[in-house]
Amino acid sequence: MKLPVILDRAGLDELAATRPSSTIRALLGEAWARQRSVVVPALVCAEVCRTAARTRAVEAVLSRHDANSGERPAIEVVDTTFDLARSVGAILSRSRAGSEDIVDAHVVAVAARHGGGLVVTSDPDDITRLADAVPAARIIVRPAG
Amino acid sequence: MAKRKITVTVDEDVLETIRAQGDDNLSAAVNDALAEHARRIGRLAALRNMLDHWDAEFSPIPTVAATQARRSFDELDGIAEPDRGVA
Repeated sequence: MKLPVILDRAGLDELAATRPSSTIRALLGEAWARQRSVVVPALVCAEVCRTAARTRAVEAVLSRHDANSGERPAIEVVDTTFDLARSVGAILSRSRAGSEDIVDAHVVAVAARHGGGLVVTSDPDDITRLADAVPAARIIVRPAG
Repeated sequence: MAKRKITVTVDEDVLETIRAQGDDNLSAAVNDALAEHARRIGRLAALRNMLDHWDAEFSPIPTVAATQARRSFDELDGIAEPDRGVA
């Protein structure tokens, strides 16, 4: 099973930065070498798209591809479907967490549907706590920079 | 959409499993699988271009960052113990 990279706010922030960190570049380079998907829950975009400048930067990084050579955008945005929302609710419930953790719970739910994943985050403790609600999924956390 | 006939070779047990489930529309199944494959390699190609752009624009990735990234994926894949020193 090829577990993906999942971007939390810090991961997407770093990706959209003028000068991405060596850490995120190295992680995505390894993801490419191992043929892994890089995904971001749509709700994470809401955390990053707070100003016009940040929104433009996120739009640029998420849409960047050369369609003429068969490329697709490198980062897959995962919309919140009803199925995903149910998983998020279950994770929050099992973790006895509140709605303040809803974005992190989306990250964990997206990882869980793949069987796990490498989460790039600035909230490793929160992600790890929520990941305990899906013990069958192999979820590890790494900082973005 | 225009269709093209091709010849493909598949694992016999996979074919038997599909037929045992009563699904005889193999063309649709193969088309779906190829479409998904095209999406995946298209994303990886765009990721490679993004990485190449960064490599050309910025300083090389330090060896320690590359090593930690490799180790992170080894841990993810269950071929290395968790690195307590990272994150």
